[in-house]
Amino acid sequence: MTSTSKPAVAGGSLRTAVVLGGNRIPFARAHGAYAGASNQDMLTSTLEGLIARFGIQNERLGEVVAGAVMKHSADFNLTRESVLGTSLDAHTPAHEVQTACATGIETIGGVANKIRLGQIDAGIGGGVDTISDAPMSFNSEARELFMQLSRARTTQDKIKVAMKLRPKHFAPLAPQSGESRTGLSMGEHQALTTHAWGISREAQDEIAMRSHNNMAAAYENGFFDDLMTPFRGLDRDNNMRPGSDMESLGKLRIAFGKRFGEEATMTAGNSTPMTDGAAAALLSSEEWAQQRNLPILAEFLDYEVAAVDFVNGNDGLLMAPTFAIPRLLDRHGLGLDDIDFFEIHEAFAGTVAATIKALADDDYNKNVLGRDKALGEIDTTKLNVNGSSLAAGHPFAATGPRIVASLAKMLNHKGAGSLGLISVCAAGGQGAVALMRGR
Amino acid sequence: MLGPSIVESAPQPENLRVVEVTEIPSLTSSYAKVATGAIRPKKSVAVTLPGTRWETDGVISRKLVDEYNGLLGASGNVGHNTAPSLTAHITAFGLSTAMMAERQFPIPLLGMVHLQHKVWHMADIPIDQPVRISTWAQHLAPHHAGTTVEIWVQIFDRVTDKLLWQSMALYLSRSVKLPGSEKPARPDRPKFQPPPVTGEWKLPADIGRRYAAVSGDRNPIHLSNITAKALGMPGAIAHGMYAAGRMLAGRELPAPYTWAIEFASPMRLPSTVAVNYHQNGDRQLVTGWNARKEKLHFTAEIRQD
Repeated sequence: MTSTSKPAVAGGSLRTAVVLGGNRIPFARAHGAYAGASNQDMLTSTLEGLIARFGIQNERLGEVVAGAVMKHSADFNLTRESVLGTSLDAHTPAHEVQTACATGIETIGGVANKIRLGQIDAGIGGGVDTISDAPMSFNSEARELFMQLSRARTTQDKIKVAMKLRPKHFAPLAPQSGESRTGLSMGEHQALTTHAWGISREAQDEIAMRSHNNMAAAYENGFFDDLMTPFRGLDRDNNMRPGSDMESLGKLRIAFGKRFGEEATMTAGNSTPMTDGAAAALLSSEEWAQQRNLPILAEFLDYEVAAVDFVNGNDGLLMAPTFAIPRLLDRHGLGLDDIDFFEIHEAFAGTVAATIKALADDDYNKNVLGRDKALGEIDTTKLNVNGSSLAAGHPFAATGPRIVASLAKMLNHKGAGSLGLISVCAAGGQGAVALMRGR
Repeated sequence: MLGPSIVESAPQPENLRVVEVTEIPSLTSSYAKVATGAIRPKKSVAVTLPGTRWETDGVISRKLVDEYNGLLGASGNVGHNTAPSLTAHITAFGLSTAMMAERQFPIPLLGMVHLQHKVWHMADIPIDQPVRISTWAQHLAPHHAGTTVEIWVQIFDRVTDKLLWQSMALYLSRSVKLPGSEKPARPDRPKFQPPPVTGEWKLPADIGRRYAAVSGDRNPIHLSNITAKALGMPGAIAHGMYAAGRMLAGRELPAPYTWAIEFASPMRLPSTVAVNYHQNGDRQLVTGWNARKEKLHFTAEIRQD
């Protein structure tokens, strides 16, 4: 494939956006190793590690795009503040993205699109999240009183408002992982989907076991050596349990879907824990990489987003990728057989299993996706071969960049022309999927 | 999926003497009035409706709309510069209740059971604009557990006299028996089969007090266990119209549309209500139930006209 530096907006063809590599800090279970770390702290460290790895200190990048799902209102310029804390040229602009767990795919996809259009030559897409330092807010009654207090002009007025404050107004509201339109938590939503698709406890525990053991093996093989910067005493994800086995996973109690009684299958072992962490990936045009003698690992070909009607119970909350995957593959004339690596984000083992089952189901493809027949089977030997979120954990916005960086390296090892598909589900019934090609 | 079965009825405001009310009485004063004069002779003869229609000028205020949307959350009617359907009910409820609290009204207000509610939301209701509110009672009917009465409300644009909104609330009184009427047999209801869960409402212990603060309906059965028990209830229960507000949240349609809710059993506070939404042609059907006891709380529907 040849490339041109002429931007499409000026009448040229699209350029190729390539992934040069990535960096992340180890992910940490919430309220643990990173309890004192802020989003800005984690994102800045991640970016600085990436900059150091590629020797791009003092470069003016086209843009750095990142985001966090759980963000303090004071962090409205989180990414720009982080950039200013790195050794990048201070003239590097930045912006924020927030689309729940799909944030990290959207940040990278946006950077890739700008590169392809010729608007920028290089950029970083990233994501960060902390549960340990999540924003707390006051209830609406308390907010209204505080606002009245700030509007009050005279001391008398201020006292009048202050007298209305009661202890209940100072009880903070913790952020919720529930869907406001259904009142169900994400785990309860997935439990409905898991049950509807008849995914067994064993199938889910096996996905969890493989995730831990695959990731532990990847660490042993040094796979993550050039994908990670140690942070606050951690040099690997502290949620990972090497040597996970079906027996210990089988002993865990039911965490979600208790309404199904004997048929409940979801545990803390086959569900992703709350996690803190950050990740980022460096993308550029081919010339930009060549001019700096930087290795090109993969092309970021395309991405697709989708959303489902979970509010009316017509679709499963986390099933949006089943809509996006066929659309993306169709656009490129590809089938599931053409893919060398599948990276399906393990929000829950049940999400992965239901996604695979749905794509292979004729009725679902016909009645729900409006296709002639099933898209096909996913070869699970190509699935999450270096582990995924059940082992690593899932700091919401950081999961996309974690996967993009790992997949780029895997595709590069596999060889030029190899193909990788990423699928990330998200709150709000959304999802993002991406297609990458090895170089 | 079962929808609500609402009585077939049409408004009959004609031939009623108009009682002009200058200001909507507070619900608390109406409750106090019937509580202090609660011991009324039970009427077993000549149970007739007063033949009056109570009317007043009012507005659906911005303050009420904001408070209502605040309570029902960001997925309520936020973003539409028109009054949510239930704020019309809340605005008119004081007038209806004052009418029912009158001595001449044949059915004691305390102890009335709200069975059904249907709303015809015919046009957008402007906020903070003058409206004309009219309310009356019609159609006393025998019921297997007592006597039912329909309380109607109509809301008109004060300037154009256009009918914007009307509602029919069906109430049951267990203490009143219509003379000369045969008690109908209790209808056969199939045993409730819980549909699949598509949502869940967590009703906190204070939701009765919070809805009371917004709606002004401080009926003690909603406020706390102590006040509810004082009135012979096993404990505090949610306002039925709070359930209506929850099922409408984020789902109000462009006018004209209708919605209806049929109450089967009260929702205790605090509790968790399992919910199913189901699209059936042009109707959204909503079911709420207690998942543990497999007990139906309500069925409802929202329909585009």
